[in-house]
Amino acid sequence: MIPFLSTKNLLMLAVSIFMLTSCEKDVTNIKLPSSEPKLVVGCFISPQDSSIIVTLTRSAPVFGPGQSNSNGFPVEDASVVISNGSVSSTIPFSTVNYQYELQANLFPIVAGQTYYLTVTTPKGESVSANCTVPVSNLSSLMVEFTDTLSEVKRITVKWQDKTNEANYYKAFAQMVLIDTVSLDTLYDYMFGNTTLFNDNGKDGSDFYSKLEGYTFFGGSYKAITGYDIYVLNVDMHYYNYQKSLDNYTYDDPFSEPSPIYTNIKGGLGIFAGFQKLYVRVP
Amino acid sequence: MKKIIVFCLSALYLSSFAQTPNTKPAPEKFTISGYISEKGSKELLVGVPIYIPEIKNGTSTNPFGFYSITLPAMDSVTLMFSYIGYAQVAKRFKLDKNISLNLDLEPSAKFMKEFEVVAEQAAKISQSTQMSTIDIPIQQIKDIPALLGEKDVLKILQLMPGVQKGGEGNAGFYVRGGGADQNLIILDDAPVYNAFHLFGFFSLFNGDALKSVELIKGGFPARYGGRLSSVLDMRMKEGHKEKFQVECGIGIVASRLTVEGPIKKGKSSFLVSARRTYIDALIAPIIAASNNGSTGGYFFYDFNTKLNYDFGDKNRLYLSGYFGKDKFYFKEKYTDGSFSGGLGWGNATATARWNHLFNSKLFANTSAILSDYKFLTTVKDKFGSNEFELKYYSGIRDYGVKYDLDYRPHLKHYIRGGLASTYHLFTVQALTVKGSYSPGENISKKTTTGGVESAVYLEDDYKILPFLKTNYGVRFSHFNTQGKNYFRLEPRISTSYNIKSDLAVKASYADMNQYIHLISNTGVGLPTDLWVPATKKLAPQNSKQWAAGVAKDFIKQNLAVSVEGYYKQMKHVLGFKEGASFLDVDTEPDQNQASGFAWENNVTSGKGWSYGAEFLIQRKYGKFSGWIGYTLSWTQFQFDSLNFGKKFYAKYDRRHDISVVGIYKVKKEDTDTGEDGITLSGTWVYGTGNAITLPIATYAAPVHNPGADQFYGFGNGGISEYTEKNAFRMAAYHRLDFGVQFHKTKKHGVRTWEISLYNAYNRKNPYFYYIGRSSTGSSVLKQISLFPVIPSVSYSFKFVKTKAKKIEKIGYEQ
Repeated sequence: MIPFLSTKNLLMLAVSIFMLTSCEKDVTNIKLPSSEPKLVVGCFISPQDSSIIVTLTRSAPVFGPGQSNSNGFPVEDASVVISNGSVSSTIPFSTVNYQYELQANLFPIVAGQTYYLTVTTPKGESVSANCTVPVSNLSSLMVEFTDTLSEVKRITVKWQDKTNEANYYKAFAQMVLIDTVSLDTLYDYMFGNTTLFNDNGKDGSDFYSKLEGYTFFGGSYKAITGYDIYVLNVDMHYYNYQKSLDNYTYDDPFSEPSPIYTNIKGGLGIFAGFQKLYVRVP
Repeated sequence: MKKIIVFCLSALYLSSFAQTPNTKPAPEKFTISGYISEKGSKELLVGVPIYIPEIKNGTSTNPFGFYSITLPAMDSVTLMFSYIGYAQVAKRFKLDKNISLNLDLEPSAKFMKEFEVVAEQAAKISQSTQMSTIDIPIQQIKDIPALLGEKDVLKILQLMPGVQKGGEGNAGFYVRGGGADQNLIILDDAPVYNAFHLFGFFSLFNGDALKSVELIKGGFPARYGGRLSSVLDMRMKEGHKEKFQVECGIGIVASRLTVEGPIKKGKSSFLVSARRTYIDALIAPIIAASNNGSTGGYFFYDFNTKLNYDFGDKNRLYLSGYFGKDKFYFKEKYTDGSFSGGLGWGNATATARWNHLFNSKLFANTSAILSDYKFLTTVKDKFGSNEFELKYYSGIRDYGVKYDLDYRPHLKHYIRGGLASTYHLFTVQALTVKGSYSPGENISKKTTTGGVESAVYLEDDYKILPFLKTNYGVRFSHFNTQGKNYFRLEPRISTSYNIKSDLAVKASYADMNQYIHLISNTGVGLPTDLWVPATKKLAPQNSKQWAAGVAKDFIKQNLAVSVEGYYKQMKHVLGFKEGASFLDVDTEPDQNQASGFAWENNVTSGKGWSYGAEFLIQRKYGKFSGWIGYTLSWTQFQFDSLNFGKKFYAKYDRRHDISVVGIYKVKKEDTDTGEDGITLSGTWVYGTGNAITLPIATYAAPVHNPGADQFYGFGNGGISEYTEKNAFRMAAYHRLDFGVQFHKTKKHGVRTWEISLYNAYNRKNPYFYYIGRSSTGSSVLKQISLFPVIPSVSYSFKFVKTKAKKIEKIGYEQ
C-alpha cells in the first residue's frame, strides 16, 4: 500500500480545506449512549506453548458517568478458570508480567480439544468464551532469502496447505539481533503485506509470505545472528480477530466503522487456539 | 409466480379486443393526430392533456409532442387543449375523415376563467393512471428559492414526499428507501451517472435548458427499467425556431448563459446553455490565510447543447449533448518542494434521436446514446530532486441504442413497445505511478470489465371503462458479463379507479432489476464512489414494490390531495464489508482473493425492506401556489456478514420528512406577459437525522506475539467499541429558506433581481460527528456543520421582444 497517499487521505485533505469555513460545536441536543466498562480478555492457547497466558483489562466508556480516558490497566482481582469440559483449573495472577499465567504441564493443551474460559470479578462481572485447538500442525516450512543488504533483510516463508480441512494461517518472523557492545539479544519484528491466510478455494496449494525487516534498531545497526520463523495454523476465531485488527480503520467520517471481532460473551477481546511450527534459521 | 402474472396480463389485453356480436356494422373510425408546440419558439410540448367532452375521455402528447386520437365518425367533436402555463385552446369540427392537426399553444400566466372547470378535468391529478409520479412545471422551479440563487431541479424534487436528500452536504437523492444509485436519471434518453456538483450542493441540470421533468417513484411503466427505485426523465428544450433568444444570469456562485435560436426558420434550431462557478474566488482568501504560496480552489462548469432538424411531419432529427466537470485542486509549497494534486469528476452525454411517423397511429423513435462518467485523482509530490506522481481514475462509459414505438389504435388503448441495448464499459481502476521514493516501483495498471444490458418491453394504457383505467405491461431484461447471462422477467401493472370524477383510488405493482451498482465506501456519497456491474459472483439487485393510494381534487379550492402507501422488498443489495476499502492501492496481488476483482471481495450482499406513507397537498397554479408534503417511512437491511447478521436501519432511514413550500406572486401591472411583479417564496424542510454507528468505548485490543518469550503486549489502547450498526440517530435536520424576486419588463427583455436567504434561522445541521476532548479532558461529542445562514443576490436577464398583448377571446373555431 502506498503510504499516506491513498485517495481517502487525499479526500480528507480536500474536504478539510473546504471545511475551514464550516462550524464546529458540541452536541448537546441529543441523548448520548452511555455504557459500562467491559472486561477485555486476551488468551491464545497452543500445545506448543510452555504456559497459558490470559491478559485482562477493562474498556473505557466514551460517554456517561463511567466515562474514562484510560484503558489497558490490568485487572488483578479476577477469577480466571480454564476447562476442557471435565477438568478445570484456575489461572493465577502473576505480578511479574501483570497477567494470569499457568504452566502448561499443570493443564496441558491438546490438539483438537475444545476449551472453555470463564472470568469473574468481585464486582460481579462475568464473561466466558470457548475455542477449539486445530487438529493438525504443519510439518515443514521453507525460507528463501530474497534480499540481504545490510540494512534491509527480505525473506519469503513458504509452506504447503493441509488438504481436506479448512485452515487459516498466520506467518510471523523476527530477526535475532546482537548488540555488539552490550551483547544483548534483541528481537525485531519483520513486516509483510500479507501475513494472514485462509485456504478457501486453495486447498492443498502452496502459500507464501514476504517479510522484511530493518537491522537499524535501538539507535544503531545491529548484527544478525538468525531468524525466528513461525507459521501458525490458527482457528477461525484467531483468523477473524486478526483480520479485523489488520483492517481496522480509525474513526474518520469517511469510512464505515469496522468493529474488532470478539468471541468473548459479555465482554471484548479474544480466546483462540492455534498450533505452532517454529524454526530458527541462521 | 411471474409466469402467472404475465399470463393474466396477456389475457386481459386480448380480451379487451373481444367483439360482442351485434347486428349493426361498426361505425367507421377516423384519426386526429399531430404535434403540439409552443407558439413562437415551436418548442414541442410534452404531456399536454387533451380532453374530449363529448365522450368524457382524453389523451396526452408523448415526449416528442405527438398525439393521436382515433374515434368513430361524429358530427361534432371538441378537442380541448389545456397545459399549465399556456392559454387554453379548443377546437371543434366534424369528424368525417382523418385529420392532421398541429397546434401552437401560447404561453400565458393568466388563467382564463371560462375554461377553469373544464381545463381542470383535463389536467387533474386524479385522472392519470400514472400514480407515484411527480411532474414539476419548469416555471415553478424558477420560483422556489435555492441555495445561493441556483435554481435546481433535483433540489426541488427533494422537497416532494417520498424523495429525500441524504443530509447536510450529501450528494444523491433517496426515493422510497432506495439507495442513491437506484435512480435512473436520464437526460434526453441518456443516463447520467453522477448527478451532482460539489458534494451535492448543486445538480448538473441547468434549469434554463430543460423543458420537462418527471419523477416516477413507483408503479413504473414497462418502458423504464434498469434501476430499482425511481426514474427521473428530463428533456431539454429544443431551441426557439423563430428568433434568437438570450438569457443570462449572474449569481454569487455561478453565472449562466443560454442562447437559442433558429438555424433555418421554422425548420431547424439550436440551443446552447453554459454555466460556470467562480466559487474558487470565495475559497481563495481562506487558503491564502494559511499560505506560503499555497493555493486551492474548486470550480465546476456545465455545457448543454441541442440541435434539431424538422424534415416535415414524418421525420425529425434531434442531437443533444451535455458536458460537465468538477475540479478541486490544491497546492502546498514548502521550502524544498511542493505537494499538489486534484480531484475531479465529469459527465458527458450525447444522444442522436430520430422520430418517424409511419402513419397517424404509429409513431417511432430511434435513439443512439453515449454516456461517460469519470472520476480522477492526481497527486504530485516534489521533494528536492525526487518527484512522485500518481494518477488514479475510475469510470463508466455506455454505448446504447433504443427503439420505441407508440401505437394508438383507438382511444381505449395506447400501446408502447420497444427494445434497448447498452454496452457498459467499466474502468474499475486505472492507476499510473511514476518516480518514487524507492526505485523499481513505477506502476501502470488498468482494470476494466464490460457488460451488455438489454431489454424488450410491451405495455398498454387500457381504458377499460371511463372510470377504470389500467397500465399493464412486461419488461424482459437481460445482462451478459464475463460469459454469464442473467435473464429477468419484470411484470408491471398500475390501475386507477375513479369513484367520482374528482376522487380516484390507485394501486400498482412493479418488479425491477438493476444490473449495475454504485459502491460507496464512505456512506457520505462522495464522487469516489465506484460504478460496478453485476458479475458471475454477484447477482443483480431486484425490487418488488406494491403501492396504493387515493387522490382527490378540490376544484373549487384549487387543491389536489394525495395519500399513498408503499411497500418495497429488495434483494441482492450490496454493502461494504466492515473495514474494507478499495481505495487502498495494493502493489501486490492479494493472495487471499480466490479469483475475480478486488472490489468483489470487499462487498457483501443482503436484503432490504422499505415501507411508508406519503401525504401531499398541492396547489399547482394561481396567485398563491405550493405544497405541503409529509412522508413517514422505515428502511431496514439485513446482511449476513454485517452487524452479526441482525437487521439494521439504513443510514438514510428517515422516519419523518416534512416539506412546506409556498410561492406568492404579486403583480405590479396587469400585463399579459405576467412577467412584471414580485414573487415571494419560502420553503421549510424537516427530516429525522441519519442513523450512524458511534463509538461507545475504547479498549486495548490484545496482540498475539508468538515470538517473544511468553509475553504479550497489551496491544493498542485506541481501539473503539461501537454501538450496533446505525443504532444512533443524529440530530434532526431542519431549515427555512426565503426568496424575493423582482421582475421588470425592460426595453429589450425582462430582468429579475433575486434576494434569497438560505437557512434563515441559522440552524447548525450536523454534517458528521466525531469524538473530541473538552477543556477538562473528558470526551465530548462534537459536530461539524456546513452551511450557516447564507444570503445571496443574483441577477438575470432574458432578452426577449416584449409587446403589450391583447387578451384574445378564445372561441370555438370551425
